[in-house]
Amino acid sequence: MQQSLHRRASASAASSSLPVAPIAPRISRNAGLRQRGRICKAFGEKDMPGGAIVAQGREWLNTILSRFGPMRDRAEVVTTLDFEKPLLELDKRIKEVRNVAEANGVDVTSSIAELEERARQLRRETYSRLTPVQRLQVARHPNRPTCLDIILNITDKFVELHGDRAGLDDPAIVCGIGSMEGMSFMFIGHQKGRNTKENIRRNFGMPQPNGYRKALRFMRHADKFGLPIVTFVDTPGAYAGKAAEELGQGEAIAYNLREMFGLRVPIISVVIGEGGSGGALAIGCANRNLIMENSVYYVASPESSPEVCVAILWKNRDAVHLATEALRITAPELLNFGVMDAIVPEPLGGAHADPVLAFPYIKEALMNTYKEFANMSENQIKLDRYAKFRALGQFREYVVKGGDWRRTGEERDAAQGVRTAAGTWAVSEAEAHYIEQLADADDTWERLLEEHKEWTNRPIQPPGLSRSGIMDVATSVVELRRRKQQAQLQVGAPETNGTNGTGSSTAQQPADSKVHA
Amino acid sequence: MQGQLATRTAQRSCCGKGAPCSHPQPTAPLFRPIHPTLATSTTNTSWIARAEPDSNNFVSGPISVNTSNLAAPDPVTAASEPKATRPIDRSKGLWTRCDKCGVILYIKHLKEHHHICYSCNFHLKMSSQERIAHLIDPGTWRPLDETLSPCDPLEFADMKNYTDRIREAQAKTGLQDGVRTGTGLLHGIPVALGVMEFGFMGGSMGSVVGEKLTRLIEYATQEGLALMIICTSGGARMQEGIMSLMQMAKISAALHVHQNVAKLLYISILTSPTTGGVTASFGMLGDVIIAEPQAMIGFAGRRVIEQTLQEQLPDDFQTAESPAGPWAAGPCGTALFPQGRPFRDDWLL
Repeated sequence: MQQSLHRRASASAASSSLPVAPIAPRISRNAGLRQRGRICKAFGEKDMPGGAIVAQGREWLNTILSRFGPMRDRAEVVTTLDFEKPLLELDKRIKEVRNVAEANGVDVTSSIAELEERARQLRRETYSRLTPVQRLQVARHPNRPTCLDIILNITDKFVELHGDRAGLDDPAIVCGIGSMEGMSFMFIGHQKGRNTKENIRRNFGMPQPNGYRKALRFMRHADKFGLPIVTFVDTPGAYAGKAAEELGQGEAIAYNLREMFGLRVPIISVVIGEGGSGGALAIGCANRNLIMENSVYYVASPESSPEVCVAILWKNRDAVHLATEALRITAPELLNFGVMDAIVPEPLGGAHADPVLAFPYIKEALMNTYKEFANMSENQIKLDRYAKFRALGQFREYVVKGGDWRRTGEERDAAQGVRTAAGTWAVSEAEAHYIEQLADADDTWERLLEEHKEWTNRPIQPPGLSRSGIMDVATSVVELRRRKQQAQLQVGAPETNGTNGTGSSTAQQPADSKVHA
Repeated sequence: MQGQLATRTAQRSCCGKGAPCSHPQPTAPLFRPIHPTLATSTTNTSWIARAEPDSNNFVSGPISVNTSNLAAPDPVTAASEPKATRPIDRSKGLWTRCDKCGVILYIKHLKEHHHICYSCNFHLKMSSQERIAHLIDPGTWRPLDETLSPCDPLEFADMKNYTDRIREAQAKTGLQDGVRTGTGLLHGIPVALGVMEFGFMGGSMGSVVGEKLTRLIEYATQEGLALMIICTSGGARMQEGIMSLMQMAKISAALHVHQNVAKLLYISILTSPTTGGVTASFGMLGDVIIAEPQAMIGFAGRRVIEQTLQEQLPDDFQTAESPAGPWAAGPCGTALFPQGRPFRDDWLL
């Protein structure tokens, strides 16, 4: 399957007129010998030491490049998920009938058409009603396109870059510069393997601290040269090992989280497989988070870390499906929460069934998302990213006992309430008294601050930003603009969107464009 | 007769100043103890530490403190109680064991010694109220966002409803969620201080913790204050799902503005235990990271690592001073404590 994928991709690439980097250089043995002969002739004799060195060099190159070249042997185990088994049975039956019909020369096109229609309908029904557990299985499917598969098939040119400039490289994270539609992007992503051997080599997509530092180094490169960043998230989580802890796994992730908010280029993140907790978030703090239809994103894996999740909460290893349902890890639920911004559709049957059809969906989603940022200034991009994450979180500003926010909210709406001396509404006398005490404490504190002003170092701020709550204003302004943009996109006027973007950016309040975020 | 004897010895042995002394806790009287079953109604047996039958507020753990007298139901009611009628801390538990060396520690002495074990210098857990009292000059603490309360975004229910867990934790600690934020003077220096509370669901980080810390950091940035966060946590709150994960990014974003853009100071203090999402976000981002000795600091849980590697890990794995731990690798910017002396922030000045 993967072999045909690469062949088809290279064929399609070759058919287009753009120059294409081969996925793996086809160094056949004859070409090597011919080359060797040519070089030996250049050196004058056949068995010169120079010729032997060159041959060794070619062998060494071969060993490296052949590791990730097209798969030479077909995958022996073809994984079918249990809910896919009836679909595959039906497909097999149709193929049998067709073979028998061809052998006997009977024309059964009409009934075959009916069967195929029924198969398609069944497939559509199954895949539109996937349970969270089934979606998790699809997200972890071994044939699901990996980061490199996607990058090599959506970019015209791509060069992979390595190393964290501190002595180590991480096979679990892939970084490189590629071009889509003539524009250059920096691609970063978690890479899983396509078979067991490759999985071990790639550490199952679980990066170590050096991988995160490599990712950050390339993000800084992209920041320096103005390349927009596209990240592909597909990891069970950061690698939990002794060496990883010693090298500072927590610190590497924290550093990535902080520095990603200082980049001046737009970052777009696509969850192509599973997104595991902090390990995924370390390259996923993006302006826009896209997620494929059957991908998942969780804070703690429902199965693979039973101590974290199942054993603590349910004290029972068999409650995995309960955990998966309760944790709300699927794409539509994440879109609901506001954590994800858009869902990238997958072809019918999941991306593993028809990867070549999945790539154009991803590319289109990426280019559409990137167009929103084409007209934004650097400060706007940074503020957009800050605002997106600033708005995430569910809580109530007033006292809610035991998380019972609905009832408390209704009571507050129904209550007449009292007013403090300054006029603030409060639900009860006690709360009014509390608010007044808070105001007194604020006054006392500001007096103290005046006395000890030499210990503070107020940053230079534009006028009008000295009161707290300004971040709320800024984020709500960004939210409004984003909604306006989306409304215009839906109406379907791409050219007006561009002008409106620039128009609205100048017409925005000065606080927005001048914030030095 | 025996009762009178008990009272006299109690007064004499209290502090030597003579009765009445201001110590809230009398020491045990020095007469021969009577077994509780032999005690009659006239026997003075008040010295016996009894486990309360309705001890739902009895915090089990290294420090056994009955917080039923301490905890206010919520900050609004606490504010309306007149200060005079606030009860004094009468700890029903008298002793505890050190986590590291197992030696018996008398709670009154422990509190006098800043919750440090005298034999191994391990810093036992302190509640957030105690930490603030320890650090901030009296009368200068101004709390922020006390009324922020958690919801139940996932409507999560494992063996117990998440709402039930919240209610119990709120009753146990008197806080609405697991962190106290505010500003105060630290030896005369205005700081923005955030202290996490391990007693609230193991210090787990949820939406409210994230929001309170983010607001604290934004306030510190705006006023140009130095920021200090005392971290103690078991990780992200699973019951709030993906929202807890996003709090890591939210706090880190605010820290970027505070540290990189405004170039202000952030000190992170790691106490035992600090694991999971907190280590992977603000815990390890301090310009100076201070850890308590022998504190358990790590990212993944010990059992997860042992399962992944299929090998036994050394006992001092994931402690602050271990040769392969955070201290040696560098992310801990500075030192731990000299032996035997309690930590004082004035060393940083």
